[in-house]
Amino acid sequence: MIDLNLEQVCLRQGDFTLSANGRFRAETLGISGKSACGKTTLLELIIGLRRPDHGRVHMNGEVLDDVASKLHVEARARRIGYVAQDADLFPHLGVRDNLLFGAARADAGGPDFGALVSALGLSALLGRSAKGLSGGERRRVALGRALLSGPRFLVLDEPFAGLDEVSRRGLRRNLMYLHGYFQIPWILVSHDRSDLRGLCGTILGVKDGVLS
Amino acid sequence: MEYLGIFAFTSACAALAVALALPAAAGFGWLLARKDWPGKALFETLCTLPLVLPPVATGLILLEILGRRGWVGAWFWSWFGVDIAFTWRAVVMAMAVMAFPLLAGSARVAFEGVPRRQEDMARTLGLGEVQVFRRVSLPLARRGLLAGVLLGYARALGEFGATITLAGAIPGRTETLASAIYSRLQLGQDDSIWPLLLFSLCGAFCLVWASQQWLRSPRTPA
Repeated sequence: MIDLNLEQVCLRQGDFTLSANGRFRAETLGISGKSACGKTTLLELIIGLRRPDHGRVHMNGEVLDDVASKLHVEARARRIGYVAQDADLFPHLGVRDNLLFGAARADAGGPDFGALVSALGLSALLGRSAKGLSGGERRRVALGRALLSGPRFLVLDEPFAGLDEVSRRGLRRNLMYLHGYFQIPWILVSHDRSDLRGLCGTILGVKDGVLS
Repeated sequence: MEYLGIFAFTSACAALAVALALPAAAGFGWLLARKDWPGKALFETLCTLPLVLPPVATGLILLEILGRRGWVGAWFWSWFGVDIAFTWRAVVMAMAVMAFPLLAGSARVAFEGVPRRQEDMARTLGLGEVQVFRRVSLPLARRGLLAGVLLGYARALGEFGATITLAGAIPGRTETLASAIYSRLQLGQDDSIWPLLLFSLCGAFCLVWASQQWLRSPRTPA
């Protein structure tokens, strides 16, 4: 279960301001909004890559950011699995090493490598370089890498963007299977609300930098 | 054999100088690329000085510091009983100082070329800053760093002004390719200059060519 509490959160970037206030509880949370409305900024704030200028961020009872008391939990300590829009695989590593990159952090009870590779259909890719993978393959490797780091929950930024219909359906199946198998909650972001239907119990909207 | 000895001595000193300067230059290049701190511009200017100062002036400053009466040289003499100035150590130090700006500059460009998103991704996967540097920044910057090493090595091989001021040109002890050419020119031994010149030319050409090829080789983003 995700219990995200944003108290008067404000983050300014030049002319753009992101504002969020509210408590959101869901097993699977979707965030939708047009391009450049602040979705990725909000995600980066949740995973700890950005600091708010004002307010507090709580997640499942833990304070992650509190500007007033100058508290900021670093991204590495948040245990949030992040799948970026461009997958951001490490180009100097092969698929296997990309997958195992953050595995040392995972508890003994983390996902089994073989089972995960099999579930994501990555067995045939293990010996390949990260370069030259298709868009769908890169997303699946990034998803596996995030899961193997033993996160409390996943954050996926536009996982379906740029994929053809077959890859979209495949990734959607992967996500639903993984959710059932690993019982991992997620926050999923997409500019297309229809991507979120069936995958997210609660869907929030971001418009002009305001989360509602 | 005499020529080979001079070439081997110069090559070895240049390699040692680059090895000595590289960790500091890579660290400094990373700091310049990734961090802001008060006095950054001052440090950057100081680091670039050996490139623009007359090399003899750099050598003189080094002599003041590393000579037996200099604050580092005196400390070295009292603790280890060894001299730096006018020994092979002085050759290495002069080469290291002269190669440092090239190494640090290349490192800076190389680290600036590493996508910050890759480093951020590593942080979300639980890596601390040292691990991010070792497992992401350094491997992704290696191409630029190696090109810098080749350029720095080429610069060290051809070093003259600072070396002759700090180390002299003592045959068999501190004589490098550049100082050997100069000495023979002064003595009118024109015939013995050509093999040394050929060594210098071939070495410099190969290193600069390799550095450029290395930087040009194709890369595919993942």
